[in-house]
Amino acid sequence: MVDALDRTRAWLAAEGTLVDFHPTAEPVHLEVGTNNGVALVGDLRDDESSRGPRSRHAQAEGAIATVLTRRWFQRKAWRELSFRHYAGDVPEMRSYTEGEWNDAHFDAGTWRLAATLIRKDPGARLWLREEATIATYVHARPD
Amino acid sequence: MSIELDPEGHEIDALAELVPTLDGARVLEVGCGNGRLTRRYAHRARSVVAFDQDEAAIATFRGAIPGTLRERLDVRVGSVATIELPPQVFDVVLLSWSL
Repeated sequence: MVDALDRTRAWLAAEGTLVDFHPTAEPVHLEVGTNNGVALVGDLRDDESSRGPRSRHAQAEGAIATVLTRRWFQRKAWRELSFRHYAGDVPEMRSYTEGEWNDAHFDAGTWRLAATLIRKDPGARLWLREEATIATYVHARPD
Repeated sequence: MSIELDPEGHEIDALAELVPTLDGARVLEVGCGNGRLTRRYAHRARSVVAFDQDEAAIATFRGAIPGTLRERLDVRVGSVATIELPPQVFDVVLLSWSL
């Protein structure tokens, strides 16, 4: 990741802006929205590998800290954001999740609970809620 | 229904808020995947070079580029380690979930 940031540094114009989106440490949540509110059904869990979203968050944070320390970039602004991925039903969401995250999963109990909640309320909506950080950087200037 | 990703537009709103210089910019997007995010901001840029090492995702992206964006989008298969690009020409470099 540090090597990737070194390459992007070379491509960025002198007055340019580097923008980084990456997940926060917060796990991806599976939620069901009904007329009675929003139910948190379960959290996406990293598998044993180091490539799941929470591991990626830690690696990305480490790489950014390294390049700031090396004074390749300086941070200009940042904020957190939350967004949703909607699916029509549990099988569709399960298939989507398995395609998007090869290295993380929801456990079987989470899927069962989601199916139960959807059955109870045909008007319910099913979504993933993902928390992310967006930050901007510019080339570091001498002090 | 098919999957709807961020129909509320929170991701693109955050990008617009933090990168007002996107309008008319020469943008490089690293890890563009199937172009999900690219298609939402490219109309504001002067030009966009977007790449990803996932050939299938790039094929999907190329097949879904609207005619209005074709002239300003250059979509490539490649990785950050190997792709050849000119130095210091991009006003915005966007790491799209690629760190």
